[in-house]
Amino acid sequence: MLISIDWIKDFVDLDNIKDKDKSITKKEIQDKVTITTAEVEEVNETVSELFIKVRVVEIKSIKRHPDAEKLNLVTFSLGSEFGSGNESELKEVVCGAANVRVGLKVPYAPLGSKFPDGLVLEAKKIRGVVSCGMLCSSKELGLGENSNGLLELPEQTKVGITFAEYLGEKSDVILNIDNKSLTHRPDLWGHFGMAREIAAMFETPLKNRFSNEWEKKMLAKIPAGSSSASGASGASKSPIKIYFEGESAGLSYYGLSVSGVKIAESPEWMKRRLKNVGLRAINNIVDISNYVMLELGIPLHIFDRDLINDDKVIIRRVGGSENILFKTLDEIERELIPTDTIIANSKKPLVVAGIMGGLESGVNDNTTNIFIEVANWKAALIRRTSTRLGLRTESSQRYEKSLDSMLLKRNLLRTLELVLEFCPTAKVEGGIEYAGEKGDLEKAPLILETSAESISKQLGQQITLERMKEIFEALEFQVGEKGREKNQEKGQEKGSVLLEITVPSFRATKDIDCEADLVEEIGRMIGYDTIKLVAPTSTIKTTRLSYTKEFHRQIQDFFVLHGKCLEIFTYPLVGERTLKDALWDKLRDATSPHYLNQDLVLINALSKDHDRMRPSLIPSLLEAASLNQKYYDNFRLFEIGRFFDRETTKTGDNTFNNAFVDEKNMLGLALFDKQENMFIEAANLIENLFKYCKLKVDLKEEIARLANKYIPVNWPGKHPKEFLNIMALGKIVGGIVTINPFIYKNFKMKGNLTIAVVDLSLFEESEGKQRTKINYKPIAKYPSATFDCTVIAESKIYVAQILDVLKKMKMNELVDCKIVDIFPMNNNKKAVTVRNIFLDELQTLESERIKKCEDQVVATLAKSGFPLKV
Amino acid sequence: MSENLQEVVAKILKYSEQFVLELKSANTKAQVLDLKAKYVGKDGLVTVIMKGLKSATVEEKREIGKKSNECKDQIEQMSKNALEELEHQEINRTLEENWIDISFRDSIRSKAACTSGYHPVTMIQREVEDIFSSMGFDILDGPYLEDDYHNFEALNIPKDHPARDMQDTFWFKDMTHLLRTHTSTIQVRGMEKYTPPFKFVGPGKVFRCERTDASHEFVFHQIEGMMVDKDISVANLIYFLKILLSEIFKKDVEVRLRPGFFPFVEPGFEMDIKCLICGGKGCAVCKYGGWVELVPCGLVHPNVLKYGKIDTSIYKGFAFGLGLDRLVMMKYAIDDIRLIHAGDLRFISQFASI
Repeated sequence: MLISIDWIKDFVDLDNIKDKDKSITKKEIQDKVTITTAEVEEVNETVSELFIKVRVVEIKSIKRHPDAEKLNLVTFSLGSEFGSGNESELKEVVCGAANVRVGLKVPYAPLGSKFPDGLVLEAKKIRGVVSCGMLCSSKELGLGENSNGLLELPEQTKVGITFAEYLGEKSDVILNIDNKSLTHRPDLWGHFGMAREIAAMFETPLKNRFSNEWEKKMLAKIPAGSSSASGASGASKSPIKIYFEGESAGLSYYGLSVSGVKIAESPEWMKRRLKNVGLRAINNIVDISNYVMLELGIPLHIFDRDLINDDKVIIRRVGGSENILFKTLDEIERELIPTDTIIANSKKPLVVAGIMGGLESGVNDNTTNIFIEVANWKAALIRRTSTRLGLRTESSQRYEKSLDSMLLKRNLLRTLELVLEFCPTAKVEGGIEYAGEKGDLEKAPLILETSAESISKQLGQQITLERMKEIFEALEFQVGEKGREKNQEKGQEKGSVLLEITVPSFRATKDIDCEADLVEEIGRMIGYDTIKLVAPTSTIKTTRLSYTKEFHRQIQDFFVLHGKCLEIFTYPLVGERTLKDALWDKLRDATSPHYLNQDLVLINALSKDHDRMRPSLIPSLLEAASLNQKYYDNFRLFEIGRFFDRETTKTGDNTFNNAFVDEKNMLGLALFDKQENMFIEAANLIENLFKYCKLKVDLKEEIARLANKYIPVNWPGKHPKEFLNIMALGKIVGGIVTINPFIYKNFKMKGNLTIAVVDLSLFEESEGKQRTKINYKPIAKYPSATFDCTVIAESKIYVAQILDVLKKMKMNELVDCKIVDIFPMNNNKKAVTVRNIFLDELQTLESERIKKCEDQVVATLAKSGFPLKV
Repeated sequence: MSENLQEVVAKILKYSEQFVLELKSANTKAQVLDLKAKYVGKDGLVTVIMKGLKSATVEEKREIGKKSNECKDQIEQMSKNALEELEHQEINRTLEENWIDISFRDSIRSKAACTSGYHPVTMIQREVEDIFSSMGFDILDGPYLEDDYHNFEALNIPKDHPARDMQDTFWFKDMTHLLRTHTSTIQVRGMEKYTPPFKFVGPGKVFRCERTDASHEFVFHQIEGMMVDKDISVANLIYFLKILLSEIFKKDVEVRLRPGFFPFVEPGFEMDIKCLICGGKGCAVCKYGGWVELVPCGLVHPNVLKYGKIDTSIYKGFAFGLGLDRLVMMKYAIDDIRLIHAGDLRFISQFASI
């Protein structure tokens, strides 16, 4: 919102602040308002500084420049108000303009003037003569394209006035206040309210021209008085009566009829003020309605009374059977629904209540009789209609913040005051009409209890009762003393005075409703920067990272320090397109019925690319891989991100389940290499990760009876062989898979990509209780024996099977067996060297016993189809 | 004894010198061993002299024995040194043959082992979490998908409250579920979990339905903080945040508090810090105001505490929020917030740890 300081000065004497010998600077007012009330985003001067510096001068004499043919030395006068004597008021500049002549009145820019092109005038010699400033052309002042000589001003122009004065522009300072910081302050949506704040912050009195005397004076101009409110009928009858019909957004509605107005332009001062705060002047009556709203913060509407075409206005909801298309002032047809409140005559709507008037009954050039409406509406209902219509007006913006009905009459009288001022022939018809919801004007004032001590305690700073009273009273809160607080232990009266603070009605509509609000009033007025910092006193308590946090950190550490991976973030939202590219739509598996997360689509997504919660990290990883393979031959990346599925089973309260969705953390890993297969590397990383996190894990090949819901069996993106289930806690918690090149074309990529995903939620829920323990054993006292043997196997047999045979033997002496080497042979065979370690913890193994063990190993392997290579 | 004492001693010295000379031209272990044998072997020149001492006088024995032993020790020591030297040379020759290019390191390889590192937001988030943790704060989180109650109502933002406009909310079809617009939801979750006194922070992703550009993103990161105890005051809040910001920026920062409206705090503030780029003189970063808006904060609104079933006559609290992406962008002068979630390694690798 734009606030004019010139306007504020109607109510606050900003040029005579106590303890200040100068008037307040722009910067001071910006800082002070920002610190105490609302953020001032910008301060602007309406008239450029140049026009205030530049003055009108009269040329006195001209002589040739001693050293340049086309230049003249021009002497001129600044007028008698400036300079101390005849001599010093004359100045000399160098001038090259052709139209220079004695007696001419021209604009003069003194040294230091800054021109629109950025040039700053400095004292410098022109061909040996110092010029103290410059006489200007219209182009130089940024007024026109013509630079043919000096701008010649009319003869009657007064010498010495500023160029701004010559142009008739009054300089004003405009504060641009962040609307967001006024969300809770309906009282600040007009200059008078802002003036009250500014007066309070500078501790100077508010000049309230809207006093009781003023009100009496204004009421005297209405011959019939307040007819409806008082019940009396006066000199003339009100041509328009007001009716509330049923439930509506209406709270209170005042109306006043005036006849004999004459539509004309508003006076300059009003047009200028409106322009300075961003409104276009239209005509005197429309301008008055805008002006009063900007001054007092409450909107109003002025009808052309003849176009109401009835003797009544009715405040009601849109009827069920009514034509619901209504053309508003901006000439747009809008659809109204039965919950909207309108102001109507007996037949049709005239105004969308609190939002915008209708085109048909608005003030126009031929208007002579008007009906002034000043009303208050229920904030939530106005907001609802305005949001639905997508129509946020100056009016609805104010109403949705909860305005004060008690101030409506003042608004009406101020409007009347200006109408009578601009149209002296205008005549009030009848009295002030009123209708309203029962009791809207009889609300008891809000009284809050507090004490100076309580406020001081919450601020953490001692503030005297006197200072608090000053602040409250400046903000029009009434402070009453209710006696002294009882000391609970001794039953004696203590020093602190219990206060009863009566909140002014215009602050009580929503903004202020508890003691904490009072703390804020005092805090911001004393200035938060005056509060001395105090450390909180609190009990000592140990803190630890939650298991989930620790677990995530372990995973990140592992992949960064061991896995040579980069951590990435991807959006938790994806689009249908990406899911389809990832062939996620081909999953018609019973375990993933909501394969495209259709239920988790946003109604107001910004784009189709991110319009729903992702069902898995895999599509996101595919996208990231596709992007990065353009720039890198190999990379390893990981993310801990959330995925969303709609499983019906609910687990513990550690995950973020609500009835709506299962939201869980997932680890995603993607290893890419242009040439090499990354599967083994990925599987190694996953195995080692779990080891590092002290969790047991088993990597198992495809199991027919157990479905892997993370990498479903029928997902076409899956490699037929390079796949392992990740098993932990007796469940499948994830999988490792090489991506089937079949899917690459959708992602425009080439190379080898292996992805692993792990559902972290199961581990998080059990809070690491299943962590493996380190089991120390004394170092063996007796030496072990190593036995390497090479066996022959089918080339496509997993070598782990060979070790499985040995493990199943359950030979006590065989404490370890591992693969040493594999080398291919002819006929689809391979030779595999196995290393066996024999040990007896209680005695040295005799060579005979070792021989027996070796024979048994060889025989068992041979029996299982792995004969010794000879 | 056929020779006299002087002659024998001279002979020993001569052998000694002779050995030194001959050793110089011995280039193999065998030559050294031969030479050693020639002088101090079983029938070596020096050995023979020692053997011939039987017929000498006691005095001669003492003198010649001493000299010849010295000579023998010297020859043995020198042989040993020469042998070790030759062995060392031999090993080094083999090692040199197995030459590798020690310049061919990852730093100059085209296909290097990958760089690795944390996401820059992770780095800042951990740092901030650790600062809070060291001050006794727990670290919590909550769901991204929230309901109206946790995101608005329990935070004193009832339906039709204009403050709802301040946060452009992503809604799901049922119009009651939404993506959290702020980590303040974690305040509500925290109050459900703990009984006072308590203090915790809640970092995480938040979502706003806002047009995106270099400085606006629809997913970003915040960290929420809440402390509830007896006698919490504004003075405590400022003290606390000043310490926090000084820790984060690793220098004393100047802060100012001004009124700010957030329905869940009362009084509510915006905490600004004096611009770290220009020191308050005014620059593009602070939009020439000298201050940068950084931490919305305030005393917890009594209604919010009531929703959290906390007795407001005993307990008060403060709460604050901090934009993590903002900190990251300030720290590394990142010019486009959309890089945070882009998954682009050209961006991420610049923050690599290794």
